[in-house]
Amino acid sequence: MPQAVPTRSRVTELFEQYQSDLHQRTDRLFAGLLGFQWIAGILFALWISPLAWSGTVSRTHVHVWAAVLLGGIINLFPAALGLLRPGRPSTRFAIGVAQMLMGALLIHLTGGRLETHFHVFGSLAFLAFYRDWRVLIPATIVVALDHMLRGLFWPQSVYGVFVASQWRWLEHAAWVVFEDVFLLMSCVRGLAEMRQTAERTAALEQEVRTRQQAENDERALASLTSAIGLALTRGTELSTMLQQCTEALVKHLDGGLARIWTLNDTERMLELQASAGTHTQLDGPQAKVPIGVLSVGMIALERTPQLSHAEQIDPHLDDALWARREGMVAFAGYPLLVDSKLVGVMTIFSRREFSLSVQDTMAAVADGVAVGIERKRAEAELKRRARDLEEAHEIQRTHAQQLSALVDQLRVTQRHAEAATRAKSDFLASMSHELRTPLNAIILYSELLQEEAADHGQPGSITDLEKIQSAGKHLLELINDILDLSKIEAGKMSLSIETFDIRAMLDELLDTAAPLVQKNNNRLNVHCEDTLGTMDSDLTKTRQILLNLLSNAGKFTRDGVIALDVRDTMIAGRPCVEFAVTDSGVGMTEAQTEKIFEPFTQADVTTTRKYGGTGLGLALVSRFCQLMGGSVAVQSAPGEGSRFVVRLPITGHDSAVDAGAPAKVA
Amino acid sequence: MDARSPATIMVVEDDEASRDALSRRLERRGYRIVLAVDGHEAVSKGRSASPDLILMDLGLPGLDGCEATRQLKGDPSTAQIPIIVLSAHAMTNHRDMALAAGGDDFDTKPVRFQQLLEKIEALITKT
Repeated sequence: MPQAVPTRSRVTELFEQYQSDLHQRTDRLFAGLLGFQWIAGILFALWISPLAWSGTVSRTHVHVWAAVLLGGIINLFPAALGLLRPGRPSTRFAIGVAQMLMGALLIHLTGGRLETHFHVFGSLAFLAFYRDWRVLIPATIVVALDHMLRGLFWPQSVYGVFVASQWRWLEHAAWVVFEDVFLLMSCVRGLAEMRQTAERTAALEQEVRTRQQAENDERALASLTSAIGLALTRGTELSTMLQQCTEALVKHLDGGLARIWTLNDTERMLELQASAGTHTQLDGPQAKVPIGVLSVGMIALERTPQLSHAEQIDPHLDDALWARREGMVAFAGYPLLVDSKLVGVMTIFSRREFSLSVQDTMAAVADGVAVGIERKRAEAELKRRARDLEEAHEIQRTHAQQLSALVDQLRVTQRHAEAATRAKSDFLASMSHELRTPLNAIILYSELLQEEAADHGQPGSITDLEKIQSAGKHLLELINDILDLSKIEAGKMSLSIETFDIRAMLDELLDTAAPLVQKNNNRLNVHCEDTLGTMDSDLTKTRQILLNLLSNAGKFTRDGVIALDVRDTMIAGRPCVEFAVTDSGVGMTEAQTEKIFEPFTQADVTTTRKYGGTGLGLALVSRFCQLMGGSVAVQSAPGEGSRFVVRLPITGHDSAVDAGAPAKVA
Repeated sequence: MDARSPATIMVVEDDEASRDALSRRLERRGYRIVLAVDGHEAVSKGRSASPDLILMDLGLPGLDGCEATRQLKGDPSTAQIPIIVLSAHAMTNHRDMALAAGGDDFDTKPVRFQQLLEKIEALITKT
């Protein structure tokens, strides 16, 4: 991670670099100067005292030799050091000492001229080029010692006088020290400036580096963002998409390991979907991580990103050991949330610390991946639903076909049933004709024979003939009832509506019914309300209903009372006539009353044998009542008699009374 | 019953037993009987015998009772003879058919003899 301030070491490095450069440069400068001084010294010697005269004989002055030899010794060695070993402190010190010795030689060669002493000051100033005040110390010591020793023992050599104060060297030394002080200050200031320059340069360098780093980061993040965007929008499978995302993270973030887990359907387990970097296999101990377990599970549980930055990764991290071994320095884990709903977890280990912009980008990537996962799941769900729907449609189509086939089949069945019904009706019609014709003969003959037996005085056979007649009539009754029922069931029973007087109808009915009711020594009580008038209905069927009820009452009652009560009443806002037939006979259980209106059902199978009857009477009563828009109900208890109540509308027959019984019974 | 001369009733019936039993019972009541076994015979005997009343069975071979009734009622020489139509059929509405063909009354078979006698008397007395 780039830092805002330059490191100390870099400043020192730069500073030392500058110093070294300065030292080397100055060393080379002095190498030249030293060479020049040597030549200059020889020229001085040749100019001032070229020859030593002894009379007219002259020879080369000793000063010339001194300038050549001593000057050579003093100058050439340090000059060689300056050229061959520049920059070393020893070189500087040697040069400093040589410069002062050269000054002493020049002073001597010029006979201690005061002006030549300026060479010393000039040399010191030159030495200050080094910005190393330590160089001044041996130089100053050499000057001071030279002046002291020569001042004591050879004043002419140094001061140009034969006698000099033994403390004069101190004055010279003091001037030198005086200059040293300024040079020292100059050195210190120069060094400080040099250090500042180093700092500025280091800072500049740092800034350039930082900017380059930032640009690199930006490029990497841009590449990452586009790679992730591409992965998320490509129409691939979820696992492929996530694998591409982890690979992009590793590639563009210098990541060591990037992984993505998704929350499974139970919402309690994270399943590793993608892994890129040092590990690419999806099995292993972290393939399935329960919520709240390991750092991955904790991120899922707490739903907050976890960032671990340091030389050492958080020791609590499960992978801490591995991370240190692999040189990972940063860890980031993000819960993958869509509208605060957890869909998974994304983690990245990196060998480089995450900058703020990298962190921002990773957070954005996490958001994008979360949305991607959710979208893929939604697509999968959509596909599944579409498939379900298609299957449902298929089933529906199949059902529709089956239904259609069934309807066709039903139509055929219905046609067959209708044909069968017609056939049955036709059969019954012809059968009834075929049955009635011989029955007609039987009844007529039995009556004829009764008459003839009476004429001939043969009462014995009359009883038998009556039995034949009675059996014939019962058979006829049975045929008639069956015929009526089958007519109703074939929907062929129609009503013949006429207006009739209720009382007149009852009077006529009782003529026929009274003998039937009274045959078991029963008493008949009839009570009719005075308000009874006429009714518009089917007279024959009304009579048949009442005849059946009264005949039944007489059949099942012995030595009792049978009552017929007739009154006007209103049912559901319609005027009706209520006929109630009450007997004090054997009565019925509840189970028996429930079945009493079904055809061929008498209260007991032994009933027919004991009481006679066809078992069709009450079924016809019920059917006729419904057909006429009325109703019939029964109340009974064993041993307490029965009460049948018939209610018929006074006018019309098209509308139901009571429980809405149909006008026609099919 | 007419005391001066017994009334003549023509019994038209294809079933031998019924024809025999009914005619014998009517004879016992003093009526003269003319028999016919099918529709054609009924029409021709109706013209030749001129009965006072005809008991016409509906289900006859060849010319059925309805058609025979229509022809008799369509012939001025026999139109005034009252006809009681008898039917053993109960499914279809033979009463309406019989009356539409010109029958004066209708009754079902097996006959309730007393009731039939009443109808016969009523029609003979009327003419």
